[in-house]
Amino acid sequence: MPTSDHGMHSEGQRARKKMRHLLYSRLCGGALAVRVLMIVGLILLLASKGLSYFWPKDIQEVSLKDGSKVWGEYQGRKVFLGAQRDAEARYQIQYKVANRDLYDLDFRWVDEDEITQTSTPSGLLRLERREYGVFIGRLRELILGGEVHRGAVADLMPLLVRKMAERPANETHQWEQEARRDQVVLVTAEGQSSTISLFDVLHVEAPNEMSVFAKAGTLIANLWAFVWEDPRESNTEGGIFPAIFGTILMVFLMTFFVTPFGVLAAIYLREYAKEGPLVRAVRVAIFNLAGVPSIVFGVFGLGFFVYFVGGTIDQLLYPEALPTPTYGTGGILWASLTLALLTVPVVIVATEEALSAVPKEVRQGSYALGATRFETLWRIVVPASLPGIMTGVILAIARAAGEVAPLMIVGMVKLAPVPMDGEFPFLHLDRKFMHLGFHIYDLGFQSPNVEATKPLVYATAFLLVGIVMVMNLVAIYYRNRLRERYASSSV
Amino acid sequence: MIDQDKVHARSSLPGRLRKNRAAEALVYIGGLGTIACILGILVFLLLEALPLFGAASVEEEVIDVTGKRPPLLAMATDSFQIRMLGLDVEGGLWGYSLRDGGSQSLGRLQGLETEETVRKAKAVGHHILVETDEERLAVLPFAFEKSYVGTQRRISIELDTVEWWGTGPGAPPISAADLAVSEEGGLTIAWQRGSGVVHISRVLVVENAFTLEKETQKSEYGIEVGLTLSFLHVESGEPGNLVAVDGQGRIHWWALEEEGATKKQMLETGLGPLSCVGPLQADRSLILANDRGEMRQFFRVPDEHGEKAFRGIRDFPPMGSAITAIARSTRNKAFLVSSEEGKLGLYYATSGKRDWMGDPDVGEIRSIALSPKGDGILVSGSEGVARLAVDNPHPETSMGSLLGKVWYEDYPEPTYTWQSTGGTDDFEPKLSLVPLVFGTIKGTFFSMLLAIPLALLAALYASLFLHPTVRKWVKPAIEIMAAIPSVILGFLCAIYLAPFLESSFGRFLLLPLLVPLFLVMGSLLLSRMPTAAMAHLPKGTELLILGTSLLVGGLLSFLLGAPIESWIFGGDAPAWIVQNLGVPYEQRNAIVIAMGMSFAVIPIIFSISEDAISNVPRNLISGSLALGANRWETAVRVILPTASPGIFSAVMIGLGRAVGETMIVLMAAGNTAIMDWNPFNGFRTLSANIAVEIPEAPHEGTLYRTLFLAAILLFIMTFFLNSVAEVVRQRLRSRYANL
Repeated sequence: MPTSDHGMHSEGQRARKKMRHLLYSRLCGGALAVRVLMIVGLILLLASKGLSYFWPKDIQEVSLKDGSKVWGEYQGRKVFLGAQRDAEARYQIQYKVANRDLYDLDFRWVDEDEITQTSTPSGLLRLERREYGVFIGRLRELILGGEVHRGAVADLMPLLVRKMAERPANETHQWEQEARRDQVVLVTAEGQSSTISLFDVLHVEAPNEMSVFAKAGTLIANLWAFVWEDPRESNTEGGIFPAIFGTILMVFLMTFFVTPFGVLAAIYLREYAKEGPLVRAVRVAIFNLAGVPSIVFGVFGLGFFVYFVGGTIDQLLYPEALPTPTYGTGGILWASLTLALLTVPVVIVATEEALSAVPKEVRQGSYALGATRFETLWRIVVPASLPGIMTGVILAIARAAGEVAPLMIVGMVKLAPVPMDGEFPFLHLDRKFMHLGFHIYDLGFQSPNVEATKPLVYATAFLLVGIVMVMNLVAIYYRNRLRERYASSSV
Repeated sequence: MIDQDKVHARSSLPGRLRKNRAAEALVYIGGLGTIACILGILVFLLLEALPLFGAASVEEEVIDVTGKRPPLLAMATDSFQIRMLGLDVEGGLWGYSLRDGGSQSLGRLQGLETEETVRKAKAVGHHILVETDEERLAVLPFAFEKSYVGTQRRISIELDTVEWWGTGPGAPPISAADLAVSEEGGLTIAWQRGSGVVHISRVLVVENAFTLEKETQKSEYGIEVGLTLSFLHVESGEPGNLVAVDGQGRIHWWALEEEGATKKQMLETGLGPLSCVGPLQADRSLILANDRGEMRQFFRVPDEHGEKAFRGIRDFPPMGSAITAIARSTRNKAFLVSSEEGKLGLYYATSGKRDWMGDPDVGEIRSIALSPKGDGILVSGSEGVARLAVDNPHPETSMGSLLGKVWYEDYPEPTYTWQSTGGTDDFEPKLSLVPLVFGTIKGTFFSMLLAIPLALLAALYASLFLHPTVRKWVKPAIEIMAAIPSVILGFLCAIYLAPFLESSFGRFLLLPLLVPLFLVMGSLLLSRMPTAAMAHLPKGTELLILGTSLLVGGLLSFLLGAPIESWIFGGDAPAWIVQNLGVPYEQRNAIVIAMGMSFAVIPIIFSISEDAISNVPRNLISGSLALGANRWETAVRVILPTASPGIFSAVMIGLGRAVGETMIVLMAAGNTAIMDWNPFNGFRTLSANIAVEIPEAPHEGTLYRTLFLAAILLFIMTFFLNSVAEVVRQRLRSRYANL
């Protein structure tokens, strides 16, 4: 029968069609999975690269065919680029051999074919120094208080550890004198001996003898130091405390500016302004400003705050310092004002949304009880929309913490002390400051020793991502709670 | 009782109303102020950039209109325009104080005979070349000495010994003469008598290698030219060039040698008999002007073999009558001309425009000069001397030079070039915004090519097929991606991704092939599973299985990448690309940017289009399903068309973000301002350009203002994209409300 035939045919067609459609929809799902994997991968990459820097690595002894030895920490393996085409791939291994004062470079590439044996012998030390970075070597002598101690590493090590433990929390002059006299004598893989004064030694560890737990302890101690210490060796060593402090201070100042003005503008737009084409246009404009590139705000900040406002302040208040500018140059005040301008649309939009979510009946109830407009606003509407306002402020903070481009123009520098000290007025708003985001840019691109700073950059990036993500999660949490609350209250 | 009174008073109605009014005032002031502030950004940016297009303003200050003295034939001033040296027709030297208009005699030109008068004179650097009616040539070196009395700057004029050339009466008249001063202080003087030999006389200053004393060496030789020249121009430099123009308006060029010269070129200019010839700053260009007031710029242009030859480059707006003098600026490519009618014109060579034309009140103009900083015009005429203050801070920019092709000195053809600073003082800034706009578009294009499909497909899936409980987790995860600071993305792109792409190109090439393949396989696997079994599995299993097959695909392309690369590209894909495709491969290229930027752009597009799709009214979907359409058909035929304005605006907002993104491109795009669509090449965007250049740009300089203009361009581009998106979105919202 033609009809049944046709019916059967269409049924098979339909089944195939259904299959095809399912396939398409799953390809879409693939796109989503790609996104999720991308973000997970990114965070894992940052975490592993960043944290592995603080994990004490074993010091390997690599014996080469020519009889020489290399002591270093394993870094990675790559195809030897100079190899002939078609020839079998050769690999090179990178070791961190440290001892910058002796070898010039911290890293060394070793041909894999050249290696005869790799081991992790005991007795190898890793010294962190005040200058020239890390030293890797075997302990030979200790000169303590003029007395020379020689012997096996196992005998000397406790002495050294005890001496390091005597280090006072605050370095006194007397201690410095003594520590400069005390010396450690180490031998390198080549047999060259090197004398380092104890004053220059910041930290000693023997990673090859450490247990996993001891290493984990060191990891935590290193992380702690990374967060709380000042940078050394033109930012390639040490911690990032000034950058963290600078970021927090700047964000704090920005919040101080952005919250009242953003909320006032939103209250005006939502509660006081008469709804009309003009107000709607202003609203669209403010919404769109959130999409204007941050660098444009940076340019505005430079022209308006730094040169115009700062220049005027200098002429009125600090004429004696001219032509050296006081406020007429980039500084933390201008940076936070620029960021406040950048983030004020976020606060306005969020606050407006929160204000409009407060049900009309609540307001009318307040008016009915004889409250003025201000009283209704202050006692009823604003408290009810506080979570929304908070969400906006947190989003603004998260955006500000990660923003770098405008700040490069209006006040960040590679290396600056914390803009706060014992000198009046204690908080120096005119000073330049360090910033986590800029620190990443600077370390990754303008450092004299990019190879050595890479792990530091990963660690800084991990920290920054962590801060920003936690803030966003908090904001999302607040937002969801807010939605639930109004969803239930409107019922 | 008292307490109660107080409480009552505090909350009295008038008090509360006052408070209410005060609060209202605060909201008005604070709210309107804040809004005005943020809307004022564009206004401020415009105010900062507008002077780029402003015309020059020139104010005339007459110094000396007595007309009693003979007119000056050569003038020179110091860079602060405090003092001026003038040489008059009778050989008298005058020192003018430009601030108070006073003048004093500095005596007569040393060595000038009693009856002898000056016919022509011109100032070249700190030398005046004098041509007398007795057919003699003299060079007068002078200097402006600076001293301070307290904080007050004093300038005094120091005259050096005059040197004379020539034989006096009887010799054929001098037809042309010129002088060049080298950086080391050496002089080259060239002149022609009658129609014969061009004499070249050089005075070289040589530092003795042992005693470090400076010695002068003199040499003189002649070049046989065989025609009468009307203008000579010696270019400074060792050994330099000699350029001459004859009576028919032809350019002749000789390359000077130790002794003698080689003729390099003769060029017919077509300008007819010339009335004036003048070089520009750095001696690379010549301005030729004729008696109809037309002016044309010439400079040497290299051909494909690197051989240089003079060419006519551009014409300037004519003056209306014969040009009588051309004076150049020593700071930039500006020049000043005077015409027979007594008019002055201030031109700028790079932009090809006339910034100002005026009529100084000095009678018939005899000589003109520009101050060293280009901020003053000196003009001497039959009725006196005048100084004109020039305010022309940005002569090099015009709409044409910012957006059009410009033929720069030493370039083989007109180009769009961005090169704001150069190694030397006589560098010609090249400020074309076109390569930057191109870079912005290129970066955006490649980013969107990757981001749009991924984001839209993911949004479609998330809103239509994903179980709500899973969606609750997936959506914030993707949105959080938008919050990753772009400096981190840029750093990862440049330090991790770019070298990785270079070394494992094959792997990246396999990814888009193998991953969809494995997705299809995973999907087929899902289809084979009985529906009943699926129902028992935890929600999101589908996504999990898809993710796993994706990972397998990725892993496989990672494993197979290296063999594939050595099979197809011989082990080194970048080298293969350079050799076989003939295009450069940069490590930091558009592909890296596309991948990095997708992290920043996808969450935005995803989030907004997901909202638009999930907000499609339920009744439409139910209707479609009820009529027998399956879910995919419903999605494609019903949901997508309805939500398409929302998707459109999502893409617009994503575009806006990509256009303005700074850190990723700054760190990973290489920042070379080239115009090349090749995805393996780098580029420089407007935003990265601002970040790179503005810290070094002097306040209120041309570069500074040009960067403000770039910021305005960015502002307008993103504002436009976002506004379009917003309007479309509001339309969509009202459409949903009506459905």
